[in-house]
Amino acid sequence: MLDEPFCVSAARLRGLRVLIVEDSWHIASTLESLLERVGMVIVGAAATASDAERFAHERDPKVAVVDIKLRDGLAFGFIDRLHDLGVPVIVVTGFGTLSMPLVNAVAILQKPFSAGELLAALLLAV
Amino acid sequence: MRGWFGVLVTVLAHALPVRVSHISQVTSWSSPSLPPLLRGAVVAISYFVIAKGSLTLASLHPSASPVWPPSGLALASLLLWGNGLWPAIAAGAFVTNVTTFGSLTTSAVIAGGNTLEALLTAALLKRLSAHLFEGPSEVVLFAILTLVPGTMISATMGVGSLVLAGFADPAKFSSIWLTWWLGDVGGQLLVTPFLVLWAKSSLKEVGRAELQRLGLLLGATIIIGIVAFSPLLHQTTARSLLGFVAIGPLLWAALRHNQRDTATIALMLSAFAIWGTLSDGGPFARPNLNDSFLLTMAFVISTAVPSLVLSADVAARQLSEERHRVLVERSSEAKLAGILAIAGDAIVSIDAKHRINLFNAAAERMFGYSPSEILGQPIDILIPARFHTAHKQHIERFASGPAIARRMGERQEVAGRRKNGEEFPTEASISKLDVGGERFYTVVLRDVTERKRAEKLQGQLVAELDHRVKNVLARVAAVAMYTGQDSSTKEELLQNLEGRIQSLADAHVLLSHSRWKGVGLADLVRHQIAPYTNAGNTTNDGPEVMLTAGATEAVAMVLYELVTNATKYGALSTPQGRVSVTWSGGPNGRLSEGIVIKWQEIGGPLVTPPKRSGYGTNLIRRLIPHEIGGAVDLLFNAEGVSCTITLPAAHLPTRDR
Repeated sequence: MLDEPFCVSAARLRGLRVLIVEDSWHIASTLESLLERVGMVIVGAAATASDAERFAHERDPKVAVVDIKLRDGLAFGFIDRLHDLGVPVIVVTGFGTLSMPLVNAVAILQKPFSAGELLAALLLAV
Repeated sequence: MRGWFGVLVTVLAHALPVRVSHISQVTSWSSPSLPPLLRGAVVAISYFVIAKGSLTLASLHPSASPVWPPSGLALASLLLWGNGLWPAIAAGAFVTNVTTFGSLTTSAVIAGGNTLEALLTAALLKRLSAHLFEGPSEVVLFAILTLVPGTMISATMGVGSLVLAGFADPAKFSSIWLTWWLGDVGGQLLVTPFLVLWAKSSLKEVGRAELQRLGLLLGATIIIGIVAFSPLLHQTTARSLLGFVAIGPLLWAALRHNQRDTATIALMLSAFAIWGTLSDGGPFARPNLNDSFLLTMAFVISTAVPSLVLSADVAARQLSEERHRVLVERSSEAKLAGILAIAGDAIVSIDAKHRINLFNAAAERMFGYSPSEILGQPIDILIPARFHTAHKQHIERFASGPAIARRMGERQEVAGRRKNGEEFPTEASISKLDVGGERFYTVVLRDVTERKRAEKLQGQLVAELDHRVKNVLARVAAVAMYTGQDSSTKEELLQNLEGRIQSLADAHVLLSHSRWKGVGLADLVRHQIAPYTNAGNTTNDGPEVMLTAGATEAVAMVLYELVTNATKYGALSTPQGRVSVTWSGGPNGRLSEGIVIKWQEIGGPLVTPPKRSGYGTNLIRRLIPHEIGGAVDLLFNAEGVSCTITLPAAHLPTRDR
């Protein structure tokens, strides 16, 4: 699934604490297993903005991968608060166009995206 | 004597319009302002004067004139002002006769006969003729009633009394009677329609053009009267035939004028004919003056009656045509009004100066103006100010262009402006029409605000669908990846993958049937486990409950993993094994608090917990808590797998909702 050279360059990500915010369990768990394989530490996989806020404050993430559409609404406010906390955010979304500008995201990935794209975005963020 | 009468007839013939105005004034006098006594006096004196004049034409017997207009005056007076006027007629007739010939008795009987004639004819006309002179059959009825019985009674009483009193030769009874009778018939036939029709018409309503036409007709009639009948030209055999020319103005009046004018022409021509006959000239001259007059009257009656009938027929046809035209006009107006009223589009017409002259109900609704506010206003009032110049140029270009109509969509969107200042998008079509040299434009406007909103909504729906499809694809990709990780052979991978995708597809079909409003739990359970069970090895039971779309998908995936696991390793892998799926409101039995679904396997092989937590087990345990916020308790008890799924109430829409 991941190219060898990419795994090498992704060494910088090893041990990095990451928060996953995604309402689809399948996508969240795919992200989990992908990021675990490059050595990242998953601090939590939240499906709601309220869980995500809690994890962000309690579990000290260094980076976050966030879907726009969550179970209890949209994540725009949460992304801004993560940014205020100094946590870089990578947005993943199924929306072709976004209804609000996302100035506080490091990168925006359109679903479906490849593992390479996600790792590149993570490297850019940290 | 003859000279005196000639003057009278000439005055009568040339002063007809004067008498006309006099008669219409008489009509207006019929208002209460004129005392009945004075009216009676006017009628009596008129009767006397005309009667005395007419008697100058008597030659066979001093009391019997072949020309007797007083009978027409008497009948017209009773028809116009009522039978109560009879004493005036009786008085006029009595004085006329008493100053002419015979005794007091004969004068009284003659006057009685004249009065009775008028009364009887008037009474019969009023009874038999609902609309006097209106229509040819009414005119024919009138002509018959002038022949019988009134005029006959008058002639019989008059001549009878004279013969009985010795004032007339009994041998001449029949010829005097005929003269008397024909004189009365002619008088009624010619004078009554003339007086009644003029009295009923109002000169004020007659337009200038009509007066000119009437003047021309009267002038032509006078010329024809002089040429054909008057003693002013020398009578020859060839001239006799000119009498037929009299038919010309009569037909003209009947076809192109009205009954009133026809009656006038008939009366004028008869005056000329009588004048000619009196002077021993004209086409009707016979050795005997009385015979000449009888012939004259026969001619006059036989041309006047058909002319009056024809004129009445023309009038009736015109009336019917007019009624039909009005009906057609009204019905077409009503149709148009109906179309305008129900049209969903605003319909606005403007004149060449771009001023609004038609504004339908939809336009009122669309723009918020009432017709009284908007009619006569410039069209600019309906357009935002910044488009005024462009719009004017647009219409001018269309005005000079070859197209007579432009449909919606052929031109760009036009902005409209409501009364409250709000602007809105419209689609417009326009047509131009020249009516009587004046140009009209009709604009049909459709408010496309709603359509634009719908298009936007449509766009949002497409974006939502796009989002959903991407999520589904991502899920399928994840399912495929995990299935690949868990499968040891390619065949196993394909079989598991197909089963999982089919399970998703089944849930989708159920949701699609319900239009994504939700699926009954019993239906969902049956559909998800049916392919893996046979009759009797599974049971399911629980209250009727609906799941939301999200819960349906999640529960479907979990049930699929449970049933395939049971088929491979659990209770459904042996013939003795049983699975029961039961659900109830939870946690206290109330559906308002959510639902608890219990999966229980019994009678299968002894269960050993899996050494490693695979994709299926993870899905069962984590999907529902993650995606819909419920709880799942999966236990690998030795006697059989059990799984307790708790769904929050938020995912249970009621059927009513």
